[in-house]
Amino acid sequence: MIPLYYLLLLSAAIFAIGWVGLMIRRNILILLMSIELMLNAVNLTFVSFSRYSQSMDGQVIAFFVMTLAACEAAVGLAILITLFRYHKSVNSTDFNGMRG
Amino acid sequence: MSPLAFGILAALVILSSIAVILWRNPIGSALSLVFTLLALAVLYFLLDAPFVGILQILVYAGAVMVLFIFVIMLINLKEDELEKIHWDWKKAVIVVFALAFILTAGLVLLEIKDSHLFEPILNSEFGSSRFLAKALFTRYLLSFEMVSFIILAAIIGAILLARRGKGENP
Repeated sequence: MIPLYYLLLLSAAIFAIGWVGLMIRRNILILLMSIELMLNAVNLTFVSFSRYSQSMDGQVIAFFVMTLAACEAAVGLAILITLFRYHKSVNSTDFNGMRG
Repeated sequence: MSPLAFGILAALVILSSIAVILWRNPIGSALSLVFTLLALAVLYFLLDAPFVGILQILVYAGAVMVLFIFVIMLINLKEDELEKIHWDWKKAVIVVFALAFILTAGLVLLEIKDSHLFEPILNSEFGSSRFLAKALFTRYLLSFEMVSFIILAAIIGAILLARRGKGENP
C-alpha cells in the first residue's frame, strides 16, 4: 500500500490543474469541465482519507459531492444554452450585459 | 495498491487533465475528461471504494459527460469560433501560482508522511456497499433526503432556464 502522502499530492495536482483551466480559458464549456476536475480532486481526497482512517464517512461525502456535481453540471449547462441563445457565443468575455 | 499501478494511474490522470484544459476544441476536452474520470474510478476501486468507483463511471463518465457532449454538439462551434490560448505573462503567473500551490501542499503534507496516524488496517468488509448503505441510511439520512430535494430543485431550475420563452426565435 502506498503512503497517503502521494494520494493527497495527486489530488492537489489535479485541483491546481483545474484552477489553471478556470483562470486561463474563456470557453464556458471548458470552465465547467475545470470545475468538474476540481470537484474530482476533492473526491479523491475524501476517498483516500476514508481508506486510510477506515471510516465510511469519506465515501458517503464523496457520494454527496458527486450528486451535487451532477446537479451543478445540469444547471450550468442550462444557463450556458440560454446565454448562447442570446449572445451566439460561449466566450465568457462576451457576457457583459450586467455591467453598469 | 502497488506503487507501479499508482504511478501509471497518476501519470494518466495528470496528463489527461492537462489535455482537458489545453485542448482547443471542447469535444477533445470532454473526451479527455471522460478518460480522467475513468482513471480516477480505477483509483477508487484500488482504494477499496468500489461503490464510489461504480457511481463515478455511471454518473460522471456516463450521465454528466453525455450531457456535456450533447450540449457541445447542440452549440456546434465553427473553427473560427474556437478560442486560441494566447500565452502572456498573466497566464505564466497563473501557472507559477499553481505550481507554488502544489509545492506548498507537498511541503505541508510532509508532516503527516511518516506519521502512524493513517496506517491502513485491513478489514475485508470495508468499502462494501452494505457498509456504505448502513452509514448513508442511518447517520446521513437527513443529508440524503436533502440531496434528493436539491436534485429536484436542479431539475426544475434546468428546465426553466433552458426552456424557450413565448415568441422567441428558436
